[in-house]
Formats: sequence, C-alpha cells, structure tokens
Amino acid sequence: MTRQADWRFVGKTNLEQGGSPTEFLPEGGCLFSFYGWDQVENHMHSKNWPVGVIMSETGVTGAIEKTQIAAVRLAINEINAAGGVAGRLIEPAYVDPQSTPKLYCDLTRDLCRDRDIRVFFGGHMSSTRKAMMPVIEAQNAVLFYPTLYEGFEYSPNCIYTGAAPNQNSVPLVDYLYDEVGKSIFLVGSDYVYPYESNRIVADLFASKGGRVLDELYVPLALTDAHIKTILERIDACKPDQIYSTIVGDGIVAFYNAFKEAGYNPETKPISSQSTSEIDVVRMQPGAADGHIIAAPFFNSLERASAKAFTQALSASTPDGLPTTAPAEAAYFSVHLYAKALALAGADTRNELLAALYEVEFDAPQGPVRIDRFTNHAHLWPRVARIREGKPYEIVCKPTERVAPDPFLVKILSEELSESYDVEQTGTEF
Amino acid sequence: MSYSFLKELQNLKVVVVHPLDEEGSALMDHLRRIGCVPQLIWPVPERLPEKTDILLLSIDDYERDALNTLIKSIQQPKPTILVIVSYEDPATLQKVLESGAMAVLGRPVKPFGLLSNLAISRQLWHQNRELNRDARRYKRKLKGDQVVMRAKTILMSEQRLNEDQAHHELRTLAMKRRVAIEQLAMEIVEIHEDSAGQKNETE
Repeated sequence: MTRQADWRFVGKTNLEQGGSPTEFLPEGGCLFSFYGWDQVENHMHSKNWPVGVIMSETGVTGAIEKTQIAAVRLAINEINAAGGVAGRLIEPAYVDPQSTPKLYCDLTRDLCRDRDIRVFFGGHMSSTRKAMMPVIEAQNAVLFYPTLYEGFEYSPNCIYTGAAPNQNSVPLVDYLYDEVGKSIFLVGSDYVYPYESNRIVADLFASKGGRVLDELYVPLALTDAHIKTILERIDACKPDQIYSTIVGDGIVAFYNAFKEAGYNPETKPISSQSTSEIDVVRMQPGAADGHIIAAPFFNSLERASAKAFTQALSASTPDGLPTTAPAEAAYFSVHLYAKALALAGADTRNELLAALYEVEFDAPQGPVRIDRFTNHAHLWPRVARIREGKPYEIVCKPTERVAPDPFLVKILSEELSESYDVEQTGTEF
Repeated sequence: MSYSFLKELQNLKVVVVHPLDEEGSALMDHLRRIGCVPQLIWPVPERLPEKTDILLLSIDDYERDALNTLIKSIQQPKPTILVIVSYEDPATLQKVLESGAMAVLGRPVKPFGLLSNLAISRQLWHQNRELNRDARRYKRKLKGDQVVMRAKTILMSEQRLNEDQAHHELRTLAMKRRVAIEQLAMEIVEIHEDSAGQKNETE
C-alpha cells in the first residue's frame, strides 16, 4: 500500500447504480479521474473484474471511437445485468486519449500501475495501438484492438478483432474490378494504415490487370486546400473509381466535396474500409448514396442479432448513435472476453488467452472466434453500396467465415478468395 | 520489392538451429506466421542440411565446440545467416563475426523485428552475392586484358606492327581458330616465353 503517494485525488467519480459496477468517467478539463484513497481500499478487496477502455471521445477519430465506447458500455452492461462473470461484475475505467498516440501510451501505463488493470479495450489508429503495445507487453497485459488495420503484426498480448487486410481487401477488390471499373485512384491519410492498405489494394488490383492511375496522401487534419488538391488530381487522371483510406473527420468533408464537384457515385464511386455509418450520418444528404464500403458489419445488417445490437446501441446513447463495424468489433470483443473469463476463472494473460481460443460468440455479423495462431479474428467480411435512409445494398457476401491472414501468406501463394460470391443484388445470409 | 521478398520467403529453405524450448517454439511459430516453412534442428548438427537458404543460429556458450564445427563446415555459397544471442561480450561477438551473420536477434526473441531482420539480411546476402560475381568477372576481365596487351606488345616488337595492326592480327587469328581473343593471346604469350626460356638456356 506504499503506492498512496502516487495518487492524485480528483474527488468526483461517477458512481453508477449505487456504486457498483463503478464507472469512472472523464472529468471536464481533466483527462481522467482517479480513485480516491477509500476507493483504492475498496478496489483492492473488490470482487470485480477491472478493465481499461482506452478510446477517444475527442480529437480526429473521436466520432468513430465514441461508437466503440458505446458498444463496450453496452456489452458490459449486458453482461453485468446477467450477473457478471463467475459472480463478479466487470468494472470498466473509461479514459479519453483524445486521438493522440502519446496519451494512449500514458493512460495505459497509468491504468496498469495505478489501478492494476491487465485487460484493455481500445486503440483506433495504428499509431495509437503501436503507442500502447510496449506498455501492454511489458505488463503482460491483454489488449483487445477492435479496429481494422493494415496487418503484418502479431503480439502475444494483443487480440485483433477488426478485419485483417485479407478479410476486407480481397472481396472488395474482386468486386471493384469485376463490377466497377479497371482504373483506380488511391487517396489516404498520411500514416501507416493508408500506405499499407493502399499498397495491398493496388497490388491486388494490378494483379487482376487493373491500372492504378495516381496515389495521394493528405494530413489527418484535412483542410479545404487538401480536398481541392485531391479533386484536381482525380480530375486530371479520370479514374473509373476512387479507393479512400482517409481516416477521421476529413472523410465527411471529402465525400461532401466529391458530390459538390458533380461526380456521380453510381458510376464513379469512392470505396473505403475506413468510412463508416458515423461518417455517413454527418454527410450532406445525397453525398454518401452509391459509394462502397467493405466491412464485416453494417448498421443495416438484417441478421436478428445485428438488428438487436443496432437498436440497443441507439437506445443506449442520448443522440441515438448508429452502429459501425469498429463498434461491433468492440462489442463482440467484450463478449468474447467475458466468455473466456468464465471459462478460465482468471484474467491473467495466460489463463485468459488459453480460454479465449476455445470460445465462440454469435456476434451481430455472425459467429466469431479468435485464431490461436495469429491472435486475429475469424470474420464475415461484406461489401456494400451505401443507401441513404435504406438498408445498405450488400453486393458481396461471404459464403463462409474468413480466416485471418495478417501476413498475407495465402494471398502471396496466390490462393485468392474462392469463398466469395459477387452479386449484383444482395440478400443476407 | 518488399512484396517480392515476402513471396521469396515462402519458397526458401529456412533452418533454425535452436533448442526446442519455449523460445524456440515461439520463434518457429512466428516464422510460420510470416509464411516460412522452417525446420528446427537441435542439438547443433555437424553440418547443415543440403540447400539451406536461410540459417537462424542460436549462439550459446555451452555449445561452443559444436558451433565451431558447424560454422567451419558451412560451404560456399553460404546461406543467409542470422544469429540469436543472449550476450554481447567480446567472446560472443567473436562467434557472431565468425559465423558470417548478417543480422543479430537479441534474446528474448520477439515476433516484432524478425521479418525486418530477415528482409534486410536476405537483401545484404543478395547484394553480396552480386558484388562477388561482379568482382570475379572484373578480375577475369582485367587478367584477360593484361594478357592481350602483352601479346600485342610481342607482335608489335617481333613483326614490327603498330598497335592497331597487332590488334587486328590477334582478332583475325582468333576468329580463324574460333577461340576467344584472350585464349589466343595467352598462347602467344606462352610460346614467346617458352622460346625466350630456350634462348636463355642455350646462352
């Protein structure tokens, strides 16, 4: 108990439902709140399962990460309402790293050191995951990372529940090449995910005989001048279609400007894996309709559990947030964690992961599980045309669950997807 | 470039000389994860399997003699060698240098960094091989040029030809006999040296 000296007592903590489960929310002006001393005493003897939720409410990816926070909160509430795990409740600590990599690292370290937390949900951009991983590995903690990313990573301490590049990119490129056009323009934000995702899509597209006409990277903090440059470059090379790995708030401005420039998404669509429902709802009417997204989950998915998830998430947030693929990954990550915890009876890395590989959860997208060999998830990737005010039109759906291949070993050995049917009009499986 | 390396990696014979402990199996797992088909050998063998392309070699003190034997047995063309070390003391460093390693993995071996080290060592290996091939080619060429020059000088002095005429003579003779100009030059130099030798003997 010599750690008392480290505590900075903020005083106000948000106690929900008579104090247990206890949820610690960020304070205005302060990044996060700490336990007071008596709460520390309480925590030391607590029978709860502590988890850290390191997701941004503010900053450039705050909008999409808010849907992930809401999904984590929903899953934890569902589990706790059903009595928790092995008679103990899950006790989340929510902190806001403000879309800033260094804060992801600092907050992870603080929660490990000050609250003895060893299980985390969070990270969004790859830069934020990379910032957290050294701390997670040094502490032998477990991070559930619920966002699609560029692949080429394995850590014994990280569970990757978003799509690996083979899962979304392969069916997407199949559809784009067969149904949309043979030439493409690539645009992305200026960091590692867009470089690698664009490279993979370009390679897949070129290997089919398509032509990559031009490629451009723009800052995360997108200005009108950057958007003007993108549109000029598109105008100059006249591609059949655009593939975008723009991330964050710039997505909305780009799609709006694309519409204002007079392009018709039905004939010249933007396809993306990083554009989601939370961007679509913020676009001008008509700006999103007809563009293409690839993800294992869409807000309008027709499965019963998908509908239930979307309704529950919307009902649980004051502004009725839409569900997104990263939110769904966050949601099933918590449920997989809880199932593994129930099986293991302990939340140390070794016990938890050994159990995690044995469990399966019927997620909104379909039944998912974690691959023991890669620590990535088996998923149900789909491709859809965005339809405003209507269910997205699923144009490509998997006939079977797709195993993760984060190092693209199978793609390299030229076993391209055979588990996909490309369809013009979609019905859900 | 990086893509073609990943593709190359799948078709290479990767040999891991490392104990089959927790670290060894973690290393094998990650090699498989990135697309290799590795073969683990322990204890340290006397020689490598035929056609080893990449060798990951654990350098441990207690295997010193066996390691020396193995390192000495490695024939040209040597595989791409990466070593795994626990220490950086001069004695270990000496073994690292003797092994001809192009990359070093420090213990504990982490998944992160293995792919980069494989890529960079394989690239160095390719560059080295090309440089060696070039060096051999230029050496041969230089030797040939020297012999041709010597043969020309002989023709110039014995048959009172200028350099162009001597060169033309050499080329015509070589074409007639369908041999390389360097070979013909070598014969001329040898004949000349023999007769010069005989002259010296009779004197």
